[in-house]
Formats: sequence, structure tokens, C-alpha cells
Amino acid sequence: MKIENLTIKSAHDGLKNGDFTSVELTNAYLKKIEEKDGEVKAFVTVTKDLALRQAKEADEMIKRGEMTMLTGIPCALKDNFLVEGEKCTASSKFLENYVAPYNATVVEKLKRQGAVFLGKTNLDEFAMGSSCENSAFFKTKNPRDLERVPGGSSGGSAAAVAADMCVYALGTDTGGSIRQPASFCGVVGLKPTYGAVSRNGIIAFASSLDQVGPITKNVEDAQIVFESIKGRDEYDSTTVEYIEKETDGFKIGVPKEYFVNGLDKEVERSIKEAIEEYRKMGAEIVEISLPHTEYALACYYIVAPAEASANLARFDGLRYGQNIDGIISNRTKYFGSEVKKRIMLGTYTLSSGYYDAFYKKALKVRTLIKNDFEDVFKKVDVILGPTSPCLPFKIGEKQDDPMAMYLSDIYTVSVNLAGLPAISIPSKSEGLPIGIQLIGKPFKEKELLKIANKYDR
Amino acid sequence: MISSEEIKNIAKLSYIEIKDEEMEEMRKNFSSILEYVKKLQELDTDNIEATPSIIDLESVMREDVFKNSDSKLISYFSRSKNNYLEVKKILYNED
Repeated sequence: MKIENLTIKSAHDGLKNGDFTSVELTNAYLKKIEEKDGEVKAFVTVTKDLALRQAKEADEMIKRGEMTMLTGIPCALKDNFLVEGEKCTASSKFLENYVAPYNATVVEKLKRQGAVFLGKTNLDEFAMGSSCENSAFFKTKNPRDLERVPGGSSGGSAAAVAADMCVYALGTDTGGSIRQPASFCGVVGLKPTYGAVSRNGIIAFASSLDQVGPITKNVEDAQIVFESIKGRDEYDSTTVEYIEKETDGFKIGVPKEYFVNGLDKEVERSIKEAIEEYRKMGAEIVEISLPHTEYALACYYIVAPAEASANLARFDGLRYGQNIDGIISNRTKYFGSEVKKRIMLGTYTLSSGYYDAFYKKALKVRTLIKNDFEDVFKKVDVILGPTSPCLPFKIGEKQDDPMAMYLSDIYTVSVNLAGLPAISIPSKSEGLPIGIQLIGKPFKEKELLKIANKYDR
Repeated sequence: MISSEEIKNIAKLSYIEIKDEEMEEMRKNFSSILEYVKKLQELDTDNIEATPSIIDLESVMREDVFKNSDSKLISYFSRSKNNYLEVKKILYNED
């Protein structure tokens, strides 16, 4: 059977009409993974037995008429989501043999709907990176050009969707880790509002920034997945229940600070074309200013490592994970260098004598960044700009220069600092994929997705 | 540039050991990031409140009752005794 370009909607229709069963669909994807993943290397683990078991159950559910949009649809999960009885490595040697003892809340939600889990996808170790080159196991390739990176940290999830090795995937986004790989691989990636989706059962990186979201073929699919994973969870105290009213706003803000030095010309041209297309569709385009944009990355690289240093303190090797001879030996041997660097950076900025100058200062700048967005959202419904300042880069190109790598997140990090929802959608330009980022108001995903969908169609 | 001594001290606080052959690379990378984040000092933030989290977090309380015993978790312990995690002694008498 042909699975190329299947979406959730079209796969759902096929299952519903009896064109194929979930077992047939799942086998087709497993075959595709077997053929294609040797070169793309998106999967850390393929959970074939689990997938086929789930597909059988889904077919039973469909027969009984208990079908939702996700029943029987094969998907992939970033390898920092716990799935009971399956390995969960966070692409780290530290957790190479770790088997998850329970399901993440979102995994449980998908399971209840009869979702099929094809496998766990590669990431930068503990989600720290923008290219998937920091995985402790192997580098994932960009399916659109195998010499290039798929982006990161959810690079495996984006590559799997782009290469038709799953219908959709889940990722996590702390500073752009869903949107930037979606942009690089030419697919859709949604980071919901902070507090919209539970992080329980997902390996934490920076808890005031982390959020879970879908990577899909189109905006409609992103909406379907988002609606089924969001909501209050007693195991994540940041989550809230909310109902969003339908709106018809179509005022798009374009920040002048997003079109400055360092933005690739081809990316700039492509974004400007998208703005023109929106204008033709009747959108009101407003030039806006987010004056603290240039400080967002510096703010992020204090806040995120500080929180990471606390979150990763749990990895001592005594309760789970690798154990050789004591905490220091375990951490020294099994953490990769980027992870060590970020833990140490966080430890440094939180240590006495540096706390006020670095960490406290960053939290104050965070307020300024958040206020910039609040001011602008009094005037516009969404903000439009590039997802990444550059095209997908070559494997190895930025690996020796951490600052160059970090700069590829310059347009995405401020969204996490302000807790906003944002989506990356592929532009229509030829050549390497370019992502358009649309940023929405907090808890206004419907409005954001509606505007995104107008271009996506 | 940050000194090797400082790196060693931060590593110690982080429960990580930096080997001699990693030191130069770590000093270089660490310094370039510190240099970059110093950019924040340009901003006057004297009367600005800090935002540690976007949501106003409240402590979540629950009844102190035993819930969810999972023997699987104990089986992951590197060493255990009577369902407790067994670790090396960490408090010593200084004498």
C-alpha cells in the first residue's frame, strides 16, 4: 500500500472506510522504516512488537465503533517520552539500558485512543542541541538532503515525519526543539502554550520552558494531535484546563528586529513572500517592535542551563541508569560534553557570587521579553517571522563553534521564555526547506492554527 | 578566559570530573558563552521584577498517604536492602 504523504485525516478516512486495517497500515510503515531508516537514522528504537499489538487492538476498537481521529494511526515519539516496558534513552549513554517503568501522561492519552507507537526517535542528548549531532548514539540525517542536519533537538521526530516513516510524531520544545527541526525538514511543528500539555513522564530539561507538541504533515493534523494531548494533569502542576473561544482576528505583526544581520537572504525572501501572500488573503500586516529581541538568546543560555543543572542532578546512577563506581564516575563517563558543559554553566550562574549578576539578571530580562510580547499582542493577533535564521546546515558545519550553533535558535527561544504558543510551517519556496514561524497569544492555539492553516492549504 | 582552577571547582560542584585533555576545549567554550551572556549587563533592570516562571506556581499539597508502590522502581536500584536504596556512607565523623 502507498503511505507517502498520508496525513492523520487521510489515514483516518482509509481506516474508517475499510480501505485498509491498522495492522496493514502499521506493517507498511514498519517496512518503510526498514527500507529508509538505514540512511536517515531517525529511530533509536523501533518498537515493532508493541506497534503490531496496538494495531490489532485498534482494529478491534474500530470494529466496535470506538474510533477517534488517532485510533490505529502509527506515530513516533521522541526518545525522552516514557513508554512502559520500552527503552527510554534521551539519546544518552547514561540511560542506554533504561526501560521506562510507566507511561508519560500524553503517552497514556494516545494509548487510550488506540494510537500505534512505531518507535522512539533520536535527539540531541537530553534535548540539548539544535542539530541532533549531540546524540550519544548516531547522527540523524535530513531526509530532504542527507548531507545536512535535520535540526534539533527533536530531529529524529521531524526526520521520521518528513521521510514518511510515521504519520505524525511528538517532540519537546525548550528553546525551539520542535519548531527548528520542523523548519529544517519541511514539516509542521507546534509548540503549545506553557501549561497546555502535561510533561509528566517526559525527561525534564528546563522545567520553566519545556513543552510538548506535535510534528505533523500539515496544520490540520497538528490541531488534531494537540486537542488530544492537552489539558490539566494532576502530575504536572503547571497544566491548566481551558476553553478557547473562536475568533476571526487576522492582524499579523511583523517584528522589525527579526530582519537584521545574520538572517540568510534566501530565508528573508521566502518570509517576505509569505507576508505578501497573507496580505493578499486579506490580513492586515503591521510592523511591530520587540525591542529586547537581541537579548533573548543570552537570557535563554542562562535560564535553561541553570534549570538543567538542577534537573540533571537526579542522574547519579544509584537509583537508575548506568552505575560503575559512584556518582562522579557515572556522570563523568556517561554524560556527553555538551551536557557536561550546560550542567556546569548552570552550576556556575547559580553559584554564590554569580547568582545576582547572571541568573537573577536573566530572570529580570525575561520579564522585559515577556512584556514586549504583551504590548504587541494588544495590537495584533499573531506575530510572523522566520523560524530559523539559516537554511538546514551541513553535518559538522557548526559542531566546533557552540555560539554559531546556539544562534540558530535566535527566533525561537524568546517564545519559550514568554511561554507562548508558536508554530513552524513550511514556506512554499523551492529548494531547501524554510520554516515560517507564527507566534500566538497565550492559550490561543485555535486562533494561531486557524491563521497558520490559511497559508498551509 | 576562565581559569582551569575555576573550571575544576565548578566541575566539582556539578559532580563531574574534567580531564586534563578536555580542559582547554571546556575553557574555550565556557568562556565564549560567558562572554556572550554578559550582553545582558547592557540593560538597566533595577526596577524590574524577576520572572522565574510564566505561570504563578503554587505548592501542591496532598494527604501524606502511601500510594503507588512499584517494585519495578526498586529493581532499578544499583543496590538495595529491604526495599530501600543502599548507598555509600555520606556523613562521616571528621576526627
